[in-house]
Amino acid sequence: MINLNRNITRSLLLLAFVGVNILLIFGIGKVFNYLNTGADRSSMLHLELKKAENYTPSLEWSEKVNEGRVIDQQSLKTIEKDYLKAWYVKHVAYKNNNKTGIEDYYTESARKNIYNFIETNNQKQVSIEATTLEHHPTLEFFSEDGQLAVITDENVSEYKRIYKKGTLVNEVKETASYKVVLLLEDGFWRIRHLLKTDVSKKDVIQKSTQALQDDFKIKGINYYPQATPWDTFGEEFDLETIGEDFEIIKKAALNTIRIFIQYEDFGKAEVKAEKIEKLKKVLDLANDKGLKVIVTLFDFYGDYSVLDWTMNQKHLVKIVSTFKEHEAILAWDVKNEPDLDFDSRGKSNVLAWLNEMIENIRKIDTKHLVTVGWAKHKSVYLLKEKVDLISFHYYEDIDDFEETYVKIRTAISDKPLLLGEFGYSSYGGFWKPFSGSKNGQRNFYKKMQDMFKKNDVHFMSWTLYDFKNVPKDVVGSLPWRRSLQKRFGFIDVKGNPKPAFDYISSN
Amino acid sequence: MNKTKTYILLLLVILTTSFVIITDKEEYVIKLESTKEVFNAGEEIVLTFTFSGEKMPELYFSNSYGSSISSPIKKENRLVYDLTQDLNHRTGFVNWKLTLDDKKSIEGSFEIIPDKKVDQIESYLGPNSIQAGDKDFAMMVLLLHDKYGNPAADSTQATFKSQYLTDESSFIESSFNLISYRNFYATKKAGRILVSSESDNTFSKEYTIDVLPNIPTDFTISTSRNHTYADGNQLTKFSTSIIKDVNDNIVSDGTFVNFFIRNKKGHILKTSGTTIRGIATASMIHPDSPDEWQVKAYIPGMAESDEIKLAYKRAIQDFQISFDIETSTLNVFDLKSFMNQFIPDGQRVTLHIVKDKKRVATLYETSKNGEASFMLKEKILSKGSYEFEVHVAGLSTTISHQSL
Repeated sequence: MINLNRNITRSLLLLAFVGVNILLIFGIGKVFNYLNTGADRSSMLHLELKKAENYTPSLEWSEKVNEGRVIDQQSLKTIEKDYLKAWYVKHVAYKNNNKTGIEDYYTESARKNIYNFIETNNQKQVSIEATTLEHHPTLEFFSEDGQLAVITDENVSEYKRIYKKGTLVNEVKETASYKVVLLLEDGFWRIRHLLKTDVSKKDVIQKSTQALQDDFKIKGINYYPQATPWDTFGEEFDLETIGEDFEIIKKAALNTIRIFIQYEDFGKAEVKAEKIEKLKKVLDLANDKGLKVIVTLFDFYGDYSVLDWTMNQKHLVKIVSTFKEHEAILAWDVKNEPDLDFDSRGKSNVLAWLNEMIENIRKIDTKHLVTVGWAKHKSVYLLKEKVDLISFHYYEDIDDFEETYVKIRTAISDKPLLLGEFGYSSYGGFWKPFSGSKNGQRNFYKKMQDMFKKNDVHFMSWTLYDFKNVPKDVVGSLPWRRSLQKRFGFIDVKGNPKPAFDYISSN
Repeated sequence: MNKTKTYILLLLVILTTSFVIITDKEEYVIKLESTKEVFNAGEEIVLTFTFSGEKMPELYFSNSYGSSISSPIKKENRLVYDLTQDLNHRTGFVNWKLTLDDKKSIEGSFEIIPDKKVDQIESYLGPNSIQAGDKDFAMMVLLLHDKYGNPAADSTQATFKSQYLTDESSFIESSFNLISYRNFYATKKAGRILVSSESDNTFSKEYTIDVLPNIPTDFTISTSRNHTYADGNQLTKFSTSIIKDVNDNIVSDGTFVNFFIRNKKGHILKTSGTTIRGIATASMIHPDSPDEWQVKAYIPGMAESDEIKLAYKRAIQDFQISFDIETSTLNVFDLKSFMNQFIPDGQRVTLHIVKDKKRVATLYETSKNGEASFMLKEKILSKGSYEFEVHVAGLSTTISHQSL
């Protein structure tokens, strides 16, 4: 018994010793660590964060000559940058109800007003997602010592979504004018006063002036080059191949193609010149061959968040304004199958975004049609007032198509209706041994073409070619999906027309 | 009987469902009752709506700085929204929107105007040092505020005051675009101008504008030196006249003046100084052989002086040389200056060694106590007949046909 007790005491002592040692070493380590932390060089100076461009509302200075000192372009640019950042940090602050960045762009007295709102909104559990899409500033005054500036910002177009406890309670679009006093403090132009001086209604958006011509029947095809599917304007861009493909399409008695502009690939807010150049070549070529083009924007984009809008807007404005007069373009398809994002991104978010982008196109381009390529036929009633061309995709049961089509046709009789995508995979291999076949595909198209003739349908099939490779982002990495997607073409991987080719068009 | 019961039941069911449908489709009326469109800061801000429905919709509102929502208080068939606290007496337009359902919403706006009394003045002055004359000016900018810190309404008057020596003046300016400002022009004489401002019995602090002398005008230079000999020892001192600006203000102390000296060979020597009470001085050591200097001073980019000429006479009158064949040493001695004193140590002595009319070597020494010697080791010179040529401060003496 004594022996056992002694052993227990021994082991306890031993454990205590080890424990004390661990604590000691830990303590010394902490002290050492503390002594080693000095002023971090990067935090010694209060420098502004060099962030990538993240807020790009359209902004145009008026030409008016200001009072006070004559301003140089460099100073004006600096004021512009800090002024926009002030708006940006305010949006972020109201979205998250925290104060990050406010003190950089608002003076001590001005920031109190924002902190008040943050506090109130925090109490009420309100958060606000907002953005401004347009600014029209005028420099009114610049002080002789270059430390104080007054600007008026006319017709600032603001969009807000107000959430309470996470649910959307209000959605507001408003236009207001502001007077702003800015002070140069520690190298930052900070807002000292912000005063809303006017509120007015937004102008009614112009309607598209051109409708689809009565005698023009869209007989089209969704197009990607065989070698570079989902990457028409990439590194391996080959105008010659595209030209040959256009020739095939034209000869097959088709008159329209649908192409895709990938948001990120084109450079997001800063659209790359080389991409614009490539797009121009393709459109010119289509024009030469007598093909019309539906240009699908924002492919592979899926954020929709309000603070991203200004970037989207800049992207869109660049592309649409460059090609607003182009003869080859039939329509702008704002986004491919946005209704698939309803669940993940919120239906109201996606619709508000689409609405904004449609309005942006309208502001620049009154010549071409605007459409949205819905994935589900049930979605066509959304935004139907806003678009010129109703477009939906159909991959469901062929036997239900006619009924579906007629139903939509009857419900929306005042606008042309386009079947923007449909198709049949001839894949019948390992993953889906009993589904597709080349003859099945032929029969599918024959049947579809018969229905088109009967109902006078605008159509665009999916797609010209079978592909060797389909990128993972398109249908995911599941092999049965990818294999299926590779065999939707009218022409096989070796370049030979498949039996369905006879029914690619209606003649 | 049973049948009748069933019918009555059925009728009841139909009635109740139709009632449900009716309430569901209820057309409520909503109308803004308060018609006030302009409020004063500090005033109570309440929006009242007549409303027939049961809902308690929240009112969205947005002022200059931010947006929020407000819950109503229901009084009979009215919805009352008190925004006083949330708007916190901030001026500017406020938009509001009341959304009842997907289709029905009303919206509007009102304005809050600042309190008429100016309560605080925020003033900015810059630049706070300006140049004397009639072109340069300092600008004073005022932000006038009411007691809530809102910018005062346009056309609010402010008085700007300035004092210079015996001259006190005041000017009235109206505010516009949230500010009012005035330019204070420089005086012709350098000095200090005190400025301040006032509005509605609220006063700003005092500011000082330093009126600094304008840029210098052209000036003259003079020299002073102990003697005119090129002894390579004494200093010649250059000084400028009192440098002034166009309005007769002495330029600021520390104005930098460069003196450029061009000698007879066209080489340029440079010395510089900064002004004290308008005068800059600089020195340059005398040349060690007779020379003529042309001196001119510049204040870079602003002003320059006239050009003066200086001549330096030869300091060494005569000297002797001898060659000691035993030690192969050439001695230069009796280097005497203008009063027959030994020339100051450090005078350069040059020896050219010529053989068969060709210069084979040039050696240098510096003098000490009026002497210099060249040790010509046999190693250096082979046997033969030589000519030694010694130059000191522009004088030369030769020993010919010295054989080794």
